[in-house]
Amino acid sequence: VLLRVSSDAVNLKPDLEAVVTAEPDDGAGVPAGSELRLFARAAIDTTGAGLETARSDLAGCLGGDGLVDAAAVVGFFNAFDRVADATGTVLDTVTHQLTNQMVPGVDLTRAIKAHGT
Amino acid sequence: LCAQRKAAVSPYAVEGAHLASSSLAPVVVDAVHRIATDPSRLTERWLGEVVTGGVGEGPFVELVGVVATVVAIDTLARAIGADLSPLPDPESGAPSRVVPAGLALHSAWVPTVVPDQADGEVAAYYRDRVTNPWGFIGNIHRALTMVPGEQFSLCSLMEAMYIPVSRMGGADSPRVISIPQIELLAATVSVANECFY
Repeated sequence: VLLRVSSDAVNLKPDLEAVVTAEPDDGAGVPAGSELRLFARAAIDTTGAGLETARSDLAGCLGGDGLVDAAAVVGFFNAFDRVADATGTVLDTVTHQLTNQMVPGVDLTRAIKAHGT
Repeated sequence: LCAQRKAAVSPYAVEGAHLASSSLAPVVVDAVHRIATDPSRLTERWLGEVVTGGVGEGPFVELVGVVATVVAIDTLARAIGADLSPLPDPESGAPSRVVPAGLALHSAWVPTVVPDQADGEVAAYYRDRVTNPWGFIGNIHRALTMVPGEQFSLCSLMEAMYIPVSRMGGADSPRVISIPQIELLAATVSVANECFY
């Protein structure tokens, strides 16, 4: 939802479904999206596979400051997800409705019901 | 043990105990490992067993906050190729044991403060830091309010590493990367972690 809303604010049309379903090298229509997604996936993989290349590619694309900004966001969300999962935080009704409207192909209700099984 | 559980159809089918070099109770050590390594398969039943196994709801919420803080900082360090920071020495002193007003089971498996029943510093936190541009407070920003200090710390981490809630959905990025790029990273991480929140 926040990707869609923030993209609207700058007249960008990201492929929301690609964020959920496509391979990480699909940039989903966001500038430097491929480098960002590959970096995010590599950074949370504790084996370190592909991280050095992804880091180098992102730094080449967005510079050192962009790399650090991206790493901070990845670090925070890797933790934020754990807070949501460990406390069983319920998805907000408004967010749930908007997500289903924006990406109808992704059955979030089904996914939530499957959570923890 | 974490690897065996991660590979199993159900992580609860693999029994065992983790090696530990602290005086923490085994149930605490096990909870930390599960939250750190396989969070998407945690269940309400598991949480109940941890809480009734001697941890208690308040300490569990604090535990989640501590694990999240370490995960955030360690992930950032690994991502930029820096060495992991050593954990600080424990400080002396007693826990505050503050129990905020307005706790109820309404937005999570653990009690959280209902916004219109909050008072004091929790009310100020809701009003000043996490009411979003659409006028509501996301459940995730309530998740640790049973231990207000943990919730405030998590919010500080969010403002430093991500963006303040007031900037969400806007065009004005406080960082080198744009807000859509920030949200693409956030969504990619959450999808990879299978976090449906």
